[in-house]
Amino acid sequence: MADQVYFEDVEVGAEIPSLVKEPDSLQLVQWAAGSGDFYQIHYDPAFAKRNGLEGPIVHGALKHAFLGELLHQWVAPGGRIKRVACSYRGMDLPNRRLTHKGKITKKYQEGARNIVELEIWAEDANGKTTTPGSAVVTLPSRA
Amino acid sequence: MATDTPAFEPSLTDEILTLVGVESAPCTHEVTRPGIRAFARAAGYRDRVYYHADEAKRRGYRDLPAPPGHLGFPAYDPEQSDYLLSWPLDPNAPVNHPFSPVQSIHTELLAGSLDLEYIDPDICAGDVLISRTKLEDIRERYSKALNGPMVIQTTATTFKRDDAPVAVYRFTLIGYTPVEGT
Amino acid sequence: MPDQIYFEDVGEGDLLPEITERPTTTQLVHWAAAVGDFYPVHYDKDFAVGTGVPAVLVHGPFKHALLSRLVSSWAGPQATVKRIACSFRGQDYPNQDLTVKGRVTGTRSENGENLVELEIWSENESGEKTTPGSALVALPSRP
Repeated sequence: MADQVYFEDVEVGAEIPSLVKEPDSLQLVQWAAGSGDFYQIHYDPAFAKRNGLEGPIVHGALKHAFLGELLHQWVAPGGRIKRVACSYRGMDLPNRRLTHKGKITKKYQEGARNIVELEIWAEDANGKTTTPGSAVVTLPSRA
Repeated sequence: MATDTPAFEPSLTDEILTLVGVESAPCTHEVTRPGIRAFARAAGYRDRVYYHADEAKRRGYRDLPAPPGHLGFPAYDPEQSDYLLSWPLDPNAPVNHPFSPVQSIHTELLAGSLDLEYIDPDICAGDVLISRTKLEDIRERYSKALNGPMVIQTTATTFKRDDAPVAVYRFTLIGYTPVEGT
Repeated sequence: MPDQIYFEDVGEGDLLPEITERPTTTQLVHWAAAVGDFYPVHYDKDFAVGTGVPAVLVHGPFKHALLSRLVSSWAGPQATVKRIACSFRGQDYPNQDLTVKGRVTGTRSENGENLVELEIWSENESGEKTTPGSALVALPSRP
């Protein structure tokens, strides 16, 4: 397990460790199973082509889950994820590298809570941001 | 019939042949309402008894009954389960589940036959079943269709609840490796 | 509640009401999700073609479940399905009619149970038996 990140040690503007994923058809079908989203656009190439796509595309909600994992690996075990939001601006195809990143935009205390806000996003293999978003987490204090 | 079987490199080692009779470690299967609904939905059932607990109770079941063929879902553990097939997979164990050991010999698998025999068919949501899979038979022969050897194995998986057997799931699986250019 | 069939009303040669399904790729992914079998030959067309088959394959145990549905739907809510066995002799593909059929081959009373033996099978669009099998059910007596 990664070392705990503490509120005192984080700075606005700093990036958090990134998370690289390369979802394959198997992972998309497992996502369908886990989420109950069985839309054929995620596994049936003929269906995807009839919809004007190059082929099956990665579920938006899977990318949201990856962003959640990005935050989880950063705040665990003592921090908590309060909010994960993202927009699906670009489609991603399976078997391509997707890199999930985050940057701290704000830190403040609210009562006893140490709150950190972040800009988060997923970029495709060309470095294009397909899934921009924002997040709110709480971190433990060194005190 | 008179044609000679082409020679082929056997893939079954003596070590694998001695595994006949070997049993896997126990595997836990949870029978749950969402699991029953997912199975019934996939098989195309429309009978409310598989979806509504009230209907199930009205019809005398303890909870949603498991449709025939559904024996719960293996309790998945990312450290100990087969990512593809969801059953426990111990790389050091010779026999794990109805897909082993042939899965470790050939990359491509085809279902051969399935024989499900109930000893106690009263399986409902909330039940926890424990299975053990025994390798009953494994053999190899030349397949004309595949233009190469294929391994045929039969496993018998016995499911128990509170130590009492409820069903035996006997599965025959064929493993082969595709030949280039066919 | 579905209708009940009684042992006294069943005779050798009786045919079961057949069920025709036309499994879609979605249904195969539902099956993968329901049983946890994520072998890609059932949903990834490129993978399937790479193994030497023309298209993704219908799962064998899915056909076993269809045969089980044929038998349990016919036998009614008070019956007990005791055994369903089948052999997977031919491949079936999605978006093709798959019909399951059954016929009573014998009846007997044994240890207080009214047993019915059945021949069951699936047929593809060309009428080929792809999945022959047998079943054993216990039926209630007419009240």
